[in-house]
Amino acid sequence: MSLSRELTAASAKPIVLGLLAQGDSYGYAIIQEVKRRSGGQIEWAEGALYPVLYRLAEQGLIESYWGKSEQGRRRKYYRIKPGGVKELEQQRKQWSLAHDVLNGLWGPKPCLT
Amino acid sequence: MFDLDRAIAEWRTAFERDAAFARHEIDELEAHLRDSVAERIAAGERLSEAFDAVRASLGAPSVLRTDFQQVDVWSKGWIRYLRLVAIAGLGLYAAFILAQVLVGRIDTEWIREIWRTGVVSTSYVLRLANALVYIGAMYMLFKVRPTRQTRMLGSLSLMLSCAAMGILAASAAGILPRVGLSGVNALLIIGLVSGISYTKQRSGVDRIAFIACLVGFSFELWRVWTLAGMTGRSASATVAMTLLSLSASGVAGLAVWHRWHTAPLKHRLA
Repeated sequence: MSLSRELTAASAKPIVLGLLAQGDSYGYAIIQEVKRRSGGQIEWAEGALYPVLYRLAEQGLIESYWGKSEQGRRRKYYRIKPGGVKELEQQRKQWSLAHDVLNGLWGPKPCLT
Repeated sequence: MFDLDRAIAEWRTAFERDAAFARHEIDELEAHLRDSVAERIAAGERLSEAFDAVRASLGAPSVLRTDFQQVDVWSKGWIRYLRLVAIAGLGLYAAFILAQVLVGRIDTEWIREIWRTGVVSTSYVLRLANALVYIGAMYMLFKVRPTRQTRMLGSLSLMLSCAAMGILAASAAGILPRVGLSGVNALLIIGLVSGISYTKQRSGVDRIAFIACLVGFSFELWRVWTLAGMTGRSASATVAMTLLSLSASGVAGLAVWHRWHTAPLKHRLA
């Protein structure tokens, strides 16, 4: 089973913010980490992640800087900003609320958390 | 034997031809591509297979264009914004001059007036603003790789503007030396044409073309500033107001353009 297109798009923001809250990262690593954490169930169209990152930066939630890879190549890293931390908390509350409602409707079977 | 750098250069070219992608965005996609290829090779894949798989998984420009276009033009950086303002301002100015020519109301009296009285007219200030708009337009041509349509639009605007300036110069030939003015405009046009021709190139050739254009509009600046020196008048307030109105026109055009081309925001990750 994999997430629908709509749910994948909607969850991109909290997932990216959540990952960056744990440490600076870059596009490729973010995609790999999402794939690993979801057991391969969430696979983003790779190139489409970047507009999402740019949008988050545009909203002042994250910021980017150029660094170096292990091979010495240029690589753009992203880090979360204080506004992003606040937004992440809001997202957490909203997703938890949705989770609680669905959990109440479908029974106590554990799902998301 | 498969040459990864060459394959990546060809892959980049496809993105560079599309104005939806800024250079730093393509750099980032390239870093992604190289990381992904390296991982696949480490897992035992052949280089060519790894590259083909990653290229497919990353997506072609035609597939990614919509998502990248949905990122607000402001996020492409102030240079991109200036470029669009420059296009709009230059286009408006060229249209203004050409409209005057078409309805037979071309006015060269302002040049005679400056020469005779030393008073700087609004038309003169517009010429000064015109030179500054060229700088923005040059930035557009060399900093961002436009699509064929954008390049044609930019080239047309520049050529029309140069032609309009040539007409003004020729009309004023009784007062200012015809050959000198035409020569300066010819230099400007040569610089622009060579610049446009090399727009798709990068590195050294790009820089040479840019320098050619820089020389061209430096002559233009030198010409208007020499006139200003001759008149001994300062028109800084009027210049500021003119630039402001040109910028405002550009912003309005930009807003319409952006509204028209941007679909409702919806990221498509899957």
